Amino acid sequence: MKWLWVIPPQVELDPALATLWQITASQHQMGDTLTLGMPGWGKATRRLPAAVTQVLYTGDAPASTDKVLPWLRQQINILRPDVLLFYGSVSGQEWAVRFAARSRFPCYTQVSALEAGRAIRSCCSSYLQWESRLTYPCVLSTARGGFQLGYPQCTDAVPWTKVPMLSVQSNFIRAQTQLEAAVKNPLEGAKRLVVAGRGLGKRESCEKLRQFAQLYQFTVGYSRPAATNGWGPLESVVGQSGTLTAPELCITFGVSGAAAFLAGVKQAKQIIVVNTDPDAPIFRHCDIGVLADAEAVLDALISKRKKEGM
Amino acid sequence: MEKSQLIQNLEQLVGAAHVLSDEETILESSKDYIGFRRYERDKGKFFVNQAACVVKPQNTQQVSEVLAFLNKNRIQTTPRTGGSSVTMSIEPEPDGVILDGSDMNEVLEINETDMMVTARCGTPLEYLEEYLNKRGFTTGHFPQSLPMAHVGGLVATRSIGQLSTLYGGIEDLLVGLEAVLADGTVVRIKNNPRRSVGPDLRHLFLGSEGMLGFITEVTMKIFPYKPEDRWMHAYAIRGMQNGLDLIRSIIVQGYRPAVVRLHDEAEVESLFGGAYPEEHCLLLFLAEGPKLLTEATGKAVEEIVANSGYEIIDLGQKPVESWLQTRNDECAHMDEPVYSKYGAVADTCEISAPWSEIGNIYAAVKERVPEEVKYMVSLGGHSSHSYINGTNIYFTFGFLASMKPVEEARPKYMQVISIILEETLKRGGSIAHHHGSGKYRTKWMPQEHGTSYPLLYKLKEALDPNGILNKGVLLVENEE
Amino acid sequence: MRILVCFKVLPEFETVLESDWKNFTPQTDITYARRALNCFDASALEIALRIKDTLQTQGKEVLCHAATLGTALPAFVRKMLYAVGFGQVILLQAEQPEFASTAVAEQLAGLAREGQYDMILTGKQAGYADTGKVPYLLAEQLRMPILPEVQMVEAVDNGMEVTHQTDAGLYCSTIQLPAILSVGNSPVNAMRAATLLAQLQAAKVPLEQRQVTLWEEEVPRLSYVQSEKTCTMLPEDTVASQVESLYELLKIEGDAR
Repeated sequence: MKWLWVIPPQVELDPALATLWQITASQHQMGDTLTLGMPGWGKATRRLPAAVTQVLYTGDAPASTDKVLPWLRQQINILRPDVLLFYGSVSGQEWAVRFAARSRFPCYTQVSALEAGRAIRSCCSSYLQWESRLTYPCVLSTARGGFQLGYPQCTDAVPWTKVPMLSVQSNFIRAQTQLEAAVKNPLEGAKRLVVAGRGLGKRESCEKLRQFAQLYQFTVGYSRPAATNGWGPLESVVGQSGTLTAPELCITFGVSGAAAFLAGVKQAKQIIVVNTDPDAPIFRHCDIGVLADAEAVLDALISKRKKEGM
Repeated sequence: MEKSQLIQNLEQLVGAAHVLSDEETILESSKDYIGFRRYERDKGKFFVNQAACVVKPQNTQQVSEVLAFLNKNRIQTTPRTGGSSVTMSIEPEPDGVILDGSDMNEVLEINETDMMVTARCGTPLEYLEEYLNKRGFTTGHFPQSLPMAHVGGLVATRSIGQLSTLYGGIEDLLVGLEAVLADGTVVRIKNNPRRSVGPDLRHLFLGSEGMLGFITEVTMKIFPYKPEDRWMHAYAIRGMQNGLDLIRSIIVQGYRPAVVRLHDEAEVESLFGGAYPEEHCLLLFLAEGPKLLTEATGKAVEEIVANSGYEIIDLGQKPVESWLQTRNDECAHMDEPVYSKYGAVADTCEISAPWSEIGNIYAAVKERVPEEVKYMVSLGGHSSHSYINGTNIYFTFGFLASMKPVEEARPKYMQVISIILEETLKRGGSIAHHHGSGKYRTKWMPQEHGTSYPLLYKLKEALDPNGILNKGVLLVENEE
Repeated sequence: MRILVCFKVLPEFETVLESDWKNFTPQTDITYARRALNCFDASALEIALRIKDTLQTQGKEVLCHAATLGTALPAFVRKMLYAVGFGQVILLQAEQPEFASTAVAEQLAGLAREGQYDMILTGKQAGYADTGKVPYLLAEQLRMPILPEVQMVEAVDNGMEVTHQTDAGLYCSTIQLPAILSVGNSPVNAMRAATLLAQLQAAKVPLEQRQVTLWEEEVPRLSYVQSEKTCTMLPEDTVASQVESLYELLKIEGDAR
C-alpha cells in the first residue's frame, strides 16, 4: 500500500503527525511506502514517525489552495498513492474535498479511525457512527483532536526532497491583516481536563470552575451551550463541533452529555461527572458519577485545596 | 432598624452562618424568571429592590423566632424556597428580609400504608420524586419547574403538574401541613383523608404566596409508580376550537389520561419547529396508573378520536415520548440568553375558563394582541390541564425589545399581559391558572375575586396584622 | 448585488428517541423530532441581511435569496425568511440528500449559475451526515474562490471585508467578488425574528419549488454509539463526603500531602 500524508503549513506539527499516525497505524504494513507531503513548509528538523519513507516539501511559501492543488496533482501522478490522508485542519479539510473532486476520488472527511478497510467517522451529532468501505485510491481527512500525542519515531534519516510550487496568479484576496495569531489549542494534548456545562447555571459559577482548574492544574473546556452563553471562549468548546480531546482525567460540572459533547471526551481515560440530574445521559458515559450541586462541590474542593493541598 | 443591627439580631437567632448579606447572595435570592426580568438580566440590568439580607432558618423553631422578631420590628419579609417564580412573587422589599426555607430540606417520613410522605419545606421536588421512585412511588406532581421547585413553594403557589388531569393539582395532593404565622405562632393541620370540621384550613396556605404564613412542612399523597404501563398517542387536528371540543368530550365522558395537551398551530411552529402537519394543532395524550385502567383509557381515547367526525391525523406515540424526554429542559436554561439573542422577550401567561368560554378567550387574544402590540414576533397557546368544567390556556408569546431601552421591555410586556387578562375577565375566566398572582397580576385581583375580594383582606388582617409578609402579592395596596 | 444563502432545517437530535438511534437506518422515521434552522446557516442568513441593511442605507440595491435542498421546507420558515427580507426562498425538492453531497453541490451550483449571484453564503455543517463537503464542492463546481470558517462579513468600499479563521489564526481579508463564504463560529449567532404583522404579509408569498433528482454516492453503515463505560456513583450522603472522595481522585501526581 502507498500512503500520502498531507500536512498544511502553519499547523502544529506534533499533534498533526500523531493524528495521522494513529489513523494509519491499524492499516499500515511492513513494506508500505509513506510519503509525507508538506506544501508551504520549509525543511523541519523533526523526528518523524517511523513509517515515513520520504518527505516532499516546497520551502516556505504562501500555500494557497490555487497553488497546492496543482502541486499535489503533480506528486500524485508520480507517486500513485492508494490513500491520501489530509490532516483535518481548516486548510486540510478544504484541500481534501477539493482535490478529491478534481481527481474524482472518493472522499471521506473527519475520519477518526480506519478499521479493516473501513473508514470510521461520527455523524448525527455523534449519536451514530458512520462506516464506509474504502475503495482505492481514496482521499481522507482526519477528525480534529481526540488523539493521544506521540508516535514511534524513526531512527534513520528520511530523505527530504524539495519540490517547489508553481506560481499561480490569484487576485481574490486583495488585502489581508492578521487579527489574532493561531494559538496552540490548550485542549489538544491536555492531560487533565475540566469541562463547564450549562448546568452550572450562571457565569459566576464558571469563574469558580476556573479557580478550581488553576488550583488542581486542569485545562478548562466548555460545552457548546455554555460557550454560546458567553461563559467561555468558543475556541474552548469540547465536542464534535469543537475540539475532540483525549485526556488522562476529565471531570465535568453541569454537563448533561449530548452526544455531540460526548464525542469530545470519548477518548478520555477516566471521566468523572458532577451533575444534579440523575437522568443526565452523561452518567452512562463516565467512570465515576457524583450526584450533587456543581457549585457546592466546586466551593468545597476549592476551600479544601486551599487548606490542605497548597 | 439599622441594617447592621438587624443582621446582628437575626444572627443571634439562626447563627451567623445562616444570615447572608453579601450582594451576590441577595441578588441571587431576588431573582425572578418573568420574561422581562430575564431580558433585563441578559442586558446586565438588575432593577429589583435590594433586600438587607437573606435568612436561612434550619428548623421550624427558628422560623418561628425569626418571624416573631421581624413582626415585632415590622420588617418586610419575603418568603421563598426553590425560587422558580415567574411572577415576581419573591422579589423583596427594599431593606427587607428574604426568609429562605431551602436549608430545611429533609424527607421526614414515608408512610406506605397511609400512602403519604412528609417533607420539610425546602425539600426539592425532584429529589422527593426520585426518593419515592426508588421505593416504587410517585408524587404524581410534575410542574415544569420540577428541577428547581421545593415543596413549600409548590403549596404556597397552588402549583400544578403536567400529569394533573389524572393526579390533580397540589390542592388535591396536599394532605396536611405545618406553617408559621407572622407573629411566630406555629400551626399544624393534621393528616386525614377527609374531614367535615368546618372550612378546610389548608386552603389558607394553599396559594397564599407566603402572605398569610410561612409553610415549614408538607404532607403529600403518594401513588404507585408504574411508568412501564403507560399508553401514549399523538394526533393532529385542524382548529383550536375543534381540539378543545375533542378534549372536552374525552373528559366529560369520564376518562382521565394523565396528560392531555393541545398545542395550537403557532406552537407547533415555535415549540416543535414545524415537525407536525402544517395548519394543524397537536394533541398529546398519555395515560398511566393501573394497567387495566390505562389500557381502557387509551382504548377509549382512540375510539373517541376515531368517531369524533373531525379529520384527524394519527401521529403515533413517538411525539409524546419525545415530548416526555425534553419537556423540562427549559428549566435548566432559565437564565440563558435564548430569546434575547433574537432581541426578543419571551414568556408565557396561563389562564383558565369553563368550556363554553375558553375557545372565545383564545380567539380574542389571538386577534387583539397582534393588532395592538406592534412588535410581537410570536403568539401561541396550549391547553394542558383539563377538568370536567373547563380547561386552561397557556399562552406563549414573544416580542421584539431590542430597538428600545431595556426599561421599556416591562411596559410592553405588561401590555401583552393586559390584553390576555382583560379578555379572560370579560368572559368570566380566571386570570391565573397555576403561576399565582405574584406581584405583576395583583392589580387585576379585585376583578378576579369580585365581591369575595374583601375576604382576602380580612384573612390578612387576622393572620398578619402588621402586614410584614410578602407585600404586593394578591392584595392591592391601600384598597381599604 | 445578489446574495444567495444556502441553508437547512434539521431535526434536533436531542429530541430523537434513544430507541430510534439504536436501530437507526436512513429510513427510520424521525419526523416527530423538533426541527430548527442549523445554527451556522442561521448566522449566514443574518450576515446576509446585515450586508443588505448596510448597502441599502448607501442607496445600493441588494437582493438576498435563500435556498435549501431537501424533502420539504416548513411553511413557517419560508414565511419567516420572506418576512425578514429575503426576496426569494427556493426549495430544491429531493429525497434523501444526506448521502449525496456531490449531487447536492451540483444542484446548488446550477441554481447559483442561473441566479448570477455575487456572493454565496453557506453554513459549515451538512445534514445529519455532517460531512462538511458541500461548500467546497460548490466552489469546485462554480470554479469560485471560497473562504471557510467565516465569522463576519461587512461591505466596504472596494469589496467585502471578511473575518475568518485559518490555520494561522484569525484574519480579516478584503476580497473581490464573486466568492463563496462558509460561515463557522460566528458572533452573529441567530437570525433576527420578524413581527407577526410582517409574517402575516409574507404568508402569501409562495415558495419557489423545483423538483430535482440526486444520485447517491453510497449509503454507509450507520450504527449507534454505545458507551463502553460503567459508572460508579459516589454515595450521596453529604457533599462533604463526596468531596472527600473526589479530592483523592483529583489529587495531582507527585503532590506533597
